[in-house]
Amino acid sequence: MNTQILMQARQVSRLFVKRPDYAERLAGLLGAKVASHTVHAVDRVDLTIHQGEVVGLVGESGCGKSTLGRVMAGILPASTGTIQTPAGDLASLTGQAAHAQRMATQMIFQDPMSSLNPRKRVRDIIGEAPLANGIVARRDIDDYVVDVMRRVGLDPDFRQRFPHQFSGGQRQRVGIGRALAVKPKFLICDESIAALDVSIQAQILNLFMDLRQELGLTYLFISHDLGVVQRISDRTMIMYLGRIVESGPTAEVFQVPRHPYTQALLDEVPRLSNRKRQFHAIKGEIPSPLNPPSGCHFHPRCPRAIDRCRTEQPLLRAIGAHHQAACHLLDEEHASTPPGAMHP
Amino acid sequence: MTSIATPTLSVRNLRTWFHTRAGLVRAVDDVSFDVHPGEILGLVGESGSGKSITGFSILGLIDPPGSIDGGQILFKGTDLATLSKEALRQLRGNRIAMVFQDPMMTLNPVFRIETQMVETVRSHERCSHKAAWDRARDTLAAVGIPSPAERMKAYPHQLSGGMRQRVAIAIAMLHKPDLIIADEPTTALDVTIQAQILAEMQKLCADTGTAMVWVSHDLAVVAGLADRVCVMYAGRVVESGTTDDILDAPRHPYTIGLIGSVPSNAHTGDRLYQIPGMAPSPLSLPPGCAFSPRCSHASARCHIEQPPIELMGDRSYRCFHPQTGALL
Amino acid sequence: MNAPVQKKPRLSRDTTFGQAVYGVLDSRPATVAAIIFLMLSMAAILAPWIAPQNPYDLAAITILDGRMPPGSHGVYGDIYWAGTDAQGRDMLSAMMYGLRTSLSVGVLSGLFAMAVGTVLGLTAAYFGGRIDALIMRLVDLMLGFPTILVALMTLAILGQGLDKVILALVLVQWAYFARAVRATAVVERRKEYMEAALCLGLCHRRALFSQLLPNCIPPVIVIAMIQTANAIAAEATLSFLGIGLPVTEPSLGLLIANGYQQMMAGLYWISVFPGVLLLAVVFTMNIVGDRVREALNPRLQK
Repeated sequence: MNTQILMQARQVSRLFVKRPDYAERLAGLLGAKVASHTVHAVDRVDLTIHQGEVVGLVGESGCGKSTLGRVMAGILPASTGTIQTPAGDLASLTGQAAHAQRMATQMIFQDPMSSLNPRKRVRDIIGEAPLANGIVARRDIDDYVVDVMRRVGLDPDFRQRFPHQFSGGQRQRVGIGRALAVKPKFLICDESIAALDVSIQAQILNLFMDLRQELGLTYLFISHDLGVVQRISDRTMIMYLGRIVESGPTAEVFQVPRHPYTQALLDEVPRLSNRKRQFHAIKGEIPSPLNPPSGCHFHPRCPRAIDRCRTEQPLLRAIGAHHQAACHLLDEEHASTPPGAMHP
Repeated sequence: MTSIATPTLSVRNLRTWFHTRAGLVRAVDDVSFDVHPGEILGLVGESGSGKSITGFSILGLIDPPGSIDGGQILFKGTDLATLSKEALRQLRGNRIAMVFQDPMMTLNPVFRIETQMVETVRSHERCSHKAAWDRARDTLAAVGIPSPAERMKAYPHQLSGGMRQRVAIAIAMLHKPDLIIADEPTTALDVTIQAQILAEMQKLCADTGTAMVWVSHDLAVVAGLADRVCVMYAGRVVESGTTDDILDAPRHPYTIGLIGSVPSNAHTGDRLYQIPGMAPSPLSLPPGCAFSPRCSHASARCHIEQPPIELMGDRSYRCFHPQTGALL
Repeated sequence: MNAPVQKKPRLSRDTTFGQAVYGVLDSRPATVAAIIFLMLSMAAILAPWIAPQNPYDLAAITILDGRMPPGSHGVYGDIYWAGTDAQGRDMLSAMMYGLRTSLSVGVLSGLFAMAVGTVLGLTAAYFGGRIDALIMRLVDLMLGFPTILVALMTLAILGQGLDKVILALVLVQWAYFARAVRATAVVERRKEYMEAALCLGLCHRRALFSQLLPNCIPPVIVIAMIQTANAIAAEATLSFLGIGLPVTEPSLGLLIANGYQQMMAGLYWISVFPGVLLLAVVFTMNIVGDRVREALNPRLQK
């Protein structure tokens, strides 16, 4: 799929540094051991988004997927690395170009309660940005809002209402409408359906797929729900503690996972077809991002860890046409790699 | 001594209604199910279905304006609805325990784990501090917490979410209860941690013969864990039976729709089956079958008359037009 | 969609203002207090038209009517419902005019303090970092001083006068607003709709005033009501001490001070009646403000 590249993150990291505050510095002067804590929420990630595709980003809590999403959206700046856009390096864009890039990338948030301003009516939530940015003239704004609402499946008669008068699924539609109103090209969905009931999730997922068809949108779909990602994405990337551990076409990653973490994840996901089975869970807790294990972050929990895993961080290497994984075991076993567990 | 045939918990025609200023909310309306020792019952439904309220009703945790307006909750033969507050208090935490979705509903943030667990033990039994402490440590080990003796000294905020939930489960298991009500305990946890906890709960029930009611909206979790499933919608049980029966051959259109909505089933790129519309507001339930406005098989009768419970072996469903045949 | 369709009353319960109003109406004590306060306010506003006498008009008063107890008849046949003071002024009229001054000082200083404090609190929360630290240390400083002391110092420097008293009271009160607004704004700032505002390209001004401010209003309303009551009481204290408003614009405080001397002679009405009126105003405002605070408290809602 050699279509145009919409956005490319190169070696992007995002660090959160907590410097000692006045009290801690004072304690340090008096001899207490004080250090600043650095969290590598995103650790040297490469991510390429092509025009028109849906990229799924999967991981558990603390893996940094939400942070990566916000860096791609421009809400958080990257600490190191660059994000290339068709107009140039994201960090160095100014003025009109920066503004256009900002409008082109929109985010759909997780919590339908707090992602909408509770004191604003829906028509203002959807209509404020296009009006403020000059996309629509004041006299046309009402029709525009009606149009957007219809497109996301809401009754335009309700545009005078406040968010709390809608259900969770409807609020999420309002959020989608708000993003669509500024005519974006790229939507980043950060766990956008996690907070909804199963039957409503299906509705919103279908809406995403319909919009993709109608408007030619590109998606970065961030989720912890493997089933959803399998359904909607063309490519899948698995993240663990700030690093990408496996990436490739969805069908391949789900059927022939190569990284032990991906294998464990797929094995442990509850499925309707698995009945009353023995759960074989991988041991150990997810480490705290403040204190990640050395070498390969996954080595304390990996059933097949070797000595090298403790000391050296594995890099992503190609194991198929577009399939990559970061695991020492893969280059140890090189050509005659036994495939990972097969999944239906 | 109860024989195997007597269910640990037998809920019969339970009605928990809320008399609010805005109107009558029939949160739980004529719900019945049985749970036998060592059995896990999955109570499945979406928000507003009344599944959590059912769990709270069993334990007597319903506050005004809600009250149990009818039915029986038979715990080993005794009707809990008729017991005094004091008698219920003695049962709670002792013979019947509850695990909540948020472990901080069980744990007090200002006390160490050991303090809370020891207090729980000694509140229902007379024993020495040391004996209680040992019991607490052993129970923590049984739920899979590594180095329990050290963890006991921690405060809840020093533990991760998964650990806290495990401690909450351990507190529930301290007195080896006959029944555990688990209200979405793994919903907020990661997949790998969820898998661990599910494994442990399975083992516990198998080893100790504890009966469990697992309330969840996640059909897939219930599929792997439960022996029997009850599907709830708008306060009523619309279908119940063994897990295999319900998931392989569902009868009620809502169950079919729910199964179809789960994405892991179908292929990439296909549209998911979606149940049109939304769940009704509990204040304005439609007359007749609550699901009829959204049901593609509804007839005129469904809109007027509430379907009664039809029994079919050890299955039951409430529908005038039960579906048979293949899933979507 | 399935949202219930009801006949909507004109003032909706969904806006902040609607919640505040219904909150008061739902509680009987608060409603009574609000009615009393409104009646007193009307009396104060309409004083020039409905007061029996203009106490500043030297031609209207006669010293022969001085020191008369409540309910007595004057030399020219007027009934002095609340008695007269030493110069023969009708106490009822004097109280109405005094209330007028007190209320205007209180409300004006409250409004200015609200404006200044809200802007500073929002700025501190939105920009964070050094700006936040600077503003909040300033707030801590202001709140560390006793109210009257700050007002005293300000008036000592600036001298007497209506505008100077208002300025002193603004100086004293803005910190309460700033602190409360900042606390709410800091929480709201982290919410996803503010991130969305950033994503949607809204400029800082819009994000601050159009998105953030409406969510920070509830504590502002509550503090405004209670602080106005405090300002009225503070002004009364200053006048009582003789450093507040000049004698030509008497407020309730000044009336109380003037009548203080006469108390020993048994002429209680000159001091006590204005005092009771002051108490009534402050008390009713506090009750209503308290009720509004409960009504707007997000945790108690739903």
